[in-house]
Amino acid sequence: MLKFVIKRILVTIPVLLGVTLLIFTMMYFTNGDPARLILGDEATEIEVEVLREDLGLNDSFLEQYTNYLIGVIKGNLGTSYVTGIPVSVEIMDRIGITIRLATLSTLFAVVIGIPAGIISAVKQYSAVDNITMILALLGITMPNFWLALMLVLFFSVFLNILPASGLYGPLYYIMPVISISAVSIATIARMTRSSMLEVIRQDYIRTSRAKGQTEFIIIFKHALKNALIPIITVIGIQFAISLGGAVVNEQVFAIPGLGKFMVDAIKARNYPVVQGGVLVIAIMFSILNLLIDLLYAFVDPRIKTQYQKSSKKLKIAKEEG
Amino acid sequence: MSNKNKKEAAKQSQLHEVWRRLKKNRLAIFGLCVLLLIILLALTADIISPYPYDYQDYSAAKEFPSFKHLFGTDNYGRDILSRVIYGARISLQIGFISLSTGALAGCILGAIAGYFGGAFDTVIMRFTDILMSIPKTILAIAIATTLGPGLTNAMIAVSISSIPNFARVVRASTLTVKDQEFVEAAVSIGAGNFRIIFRHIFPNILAPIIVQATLGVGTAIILAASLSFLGLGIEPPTPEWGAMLSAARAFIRDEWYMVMFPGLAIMLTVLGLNLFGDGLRDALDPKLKT
Amino acid sequence: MNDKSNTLLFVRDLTIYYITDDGVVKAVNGISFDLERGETLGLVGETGAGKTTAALGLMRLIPDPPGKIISGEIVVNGKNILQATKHELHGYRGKEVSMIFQDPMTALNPILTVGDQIAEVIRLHEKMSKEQAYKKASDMLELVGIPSERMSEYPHQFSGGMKQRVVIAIALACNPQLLIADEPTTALDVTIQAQVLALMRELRQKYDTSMIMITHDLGVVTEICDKVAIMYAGQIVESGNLEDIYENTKHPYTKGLFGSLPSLSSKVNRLSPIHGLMPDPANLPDGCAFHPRCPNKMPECETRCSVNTEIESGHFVRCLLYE
Repeated sequence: MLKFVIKRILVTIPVLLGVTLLIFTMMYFTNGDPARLILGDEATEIEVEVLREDLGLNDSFLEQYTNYLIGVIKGNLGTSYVTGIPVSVEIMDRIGITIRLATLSTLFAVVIGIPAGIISAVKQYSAVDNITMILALLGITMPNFWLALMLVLFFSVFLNILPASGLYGPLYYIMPVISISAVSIATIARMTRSSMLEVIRQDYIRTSRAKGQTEFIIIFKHALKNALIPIITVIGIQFAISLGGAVVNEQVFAIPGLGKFMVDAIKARNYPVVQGGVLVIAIMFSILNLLIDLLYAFVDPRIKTQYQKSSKKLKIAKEEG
Repeated sequence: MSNKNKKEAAKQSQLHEVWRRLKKNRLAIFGLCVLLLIILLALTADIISPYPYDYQDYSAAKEFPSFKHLFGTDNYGRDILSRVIYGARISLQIGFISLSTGALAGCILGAIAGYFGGAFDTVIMRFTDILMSIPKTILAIAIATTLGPGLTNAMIAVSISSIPNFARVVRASTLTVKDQEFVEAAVSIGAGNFRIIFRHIFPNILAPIIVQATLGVGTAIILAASLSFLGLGIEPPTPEWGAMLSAARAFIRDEWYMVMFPGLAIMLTVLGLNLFGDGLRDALDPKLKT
Repeated sequence: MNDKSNTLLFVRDLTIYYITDDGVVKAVNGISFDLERGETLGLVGETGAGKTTAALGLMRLIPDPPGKIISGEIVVNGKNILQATKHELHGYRGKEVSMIFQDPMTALNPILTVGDQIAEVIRLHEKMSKEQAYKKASDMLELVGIPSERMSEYPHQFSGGMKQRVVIAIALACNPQLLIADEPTTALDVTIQAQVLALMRELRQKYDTSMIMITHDLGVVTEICDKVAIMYAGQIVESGNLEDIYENTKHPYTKGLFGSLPSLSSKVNRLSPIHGLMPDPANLPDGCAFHPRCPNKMPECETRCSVNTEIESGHFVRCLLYE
């Protein structure tokens, strides 16, 4: 098992290298000359050329990428073209807000979505099931930024009970978290329901019933543990969706997080900020995926033994012999 | 009857069976009708919409919905209903084209990774890991930034970001199905790898692929709208729903109807897709066949 | 009839339907039988005859919906199981009656160790500490011929025969009075089949468990059963002890079953199989369900179904020929 953990951690490193290469390549091929952008229209061609040289923009792709990568490893994500402040500093100032929003949204989605899915599955075709599934369907079909606008319209414009923008206290989190997590709540509830229904039909559930086990234990021990395996993988994706949702919703609610910062940077072609932002999000998310994979192996013994193949083969040989 | 004909007939009766079950599902049929209606609107937008989408009438700007303008007018005096109808064209195009290309690529990669394992699995999964370590929306934003705004570029961005989900789902399902007895049975009678993947594994993991795909077209539409909402996708004056919402945001306090209708249009389209897709899934699920 | 107190199980007119959108599937149509303590009944019939449904009915495990126990009585140890509360059923299943399912590959929970799964049933029905339960579980594992070191392994690490041994260990862990075995060897290969059957026979004798052996294999019946009930289209068409059924076959269907078996002792040039197929249980013919295939069909068979007739002590036939 330890071997698997180490292997899995080692695997994350090339992924992150791949991410840096991918991001760098995308930004490299983006239209627009950053030197010109920094200096503005009044600067002469010579001034721009000097700055290009200084920024290393005339180097080959490989040189530029290598320099970028060395910088990243040292924790240097470059300097913002717009403010001249190191990108790492600017990101650190803002990332907390975005992580908090995404984490709260994901937690909210899990806390609401899984129980809703279980109840729906256990009471299949009941009124509770129907209402839950209709709400879930609406959650999936509404774009989060539109839901955010509708929440603002209802709670801020019509009722005037919730603040429409900024992030200055607990009340300010309510609408962003709801609009960011709506899709995730719905997705998790639907997946939990279908996964539970699938598991409940399995023979081993009948075996538990034949043992005289109570329905409660059958649902929560035998069925849920099996049903959660596919859901665990989905939760990681939900965190990513929440991060993306946070980025968009930060625009709607004028929240000064990483998302708003990045979108503004994209519009200004402020490359180092975009690169840095995407990279930091990717690192965070890779660590989360790592944890989920480990959890996955922990919950599903079939996956675990895939990593202990040699010993398994031995046992089967013994058994057959 | 030749063997091939028999197979054909079997396939047809299977499709017939799926349709028979689908017909019984009222919600699915409702979804299909909604979807067909929206497709029809998109196709006949030139005939059916009351005004051209770019017709500006400053004297009628910011008009509240009325019989003359059912959905009201925007700040340029353009008829919102007409723009919503034209918007269906763009959104459906993005949804279906980008998702089907992304899904196809993802399924193939996922099946190869799950079935063959080893080096294939490692390479493909690392590739999808790279794509997946960047949240979908942010990946799409990054790609859209690289390519610049425009319909095709938005489609490429959406398409690429939908690959890893499919690859993962298909791989995971393949792994579960692979160890089951009927696959072992197929291996034992000497079936080739591709035959096993397409004849034995794919039909058994079709349900998760379809769930993913129906939700996928919807998410693709929403993702594209998000890009436009951020000003990265389709640019004005093209009547894209996300872009319309982005422009309408500034008027939320007084002209709330401007932020209402494009969003409702997205919702209705995605709702139709989801209802139909759910019904299709239930009709296709071989495990419910008793 | 024998002394009532020695009767463990008493089934009367058990009728079970599956009510689906496509119609009513009449899976079990009024079956009746008794089982004494220590006795083994073979429930024989083709696939789709309603054997498994009947067994699930005895466990009160009919999936509802679509399944419904329409009428009848199931009395175990003097208690009518069809009137049992949920709570009583939890004490009944696994303790008084337990069941071995047909497919060992899917009968075990993939994410719990076999030890957990055996100990679970013990902890449910016996007042024991966790340690004692696991100790007993490991004894059970040894009893069915699996080294107890393998307690902490998961089902996917076992072969099919091994899994069925685990299922047997679970079924017998609480010393049930009645064991229902639903084609326990069908999914296994022949050598393993023989081993598992031998194991079951041995354990049945050791614990004096009554058993209902569901099978389509008349060979298995002679090896392990005292009594036989032949099922056709949800009814028991003939029942009696081994001798009644094998030596003194009466019902045309039973005769047909034997006629389909190749025999070494008697020189027959051709097998005489039963013609046609079992009727669709959603669309049973009027009268006797077997009449469309019956070689001894009389005009009356198309309209009236015979009552169960006791032609000699303990030998029942449901056929107008013997009424």
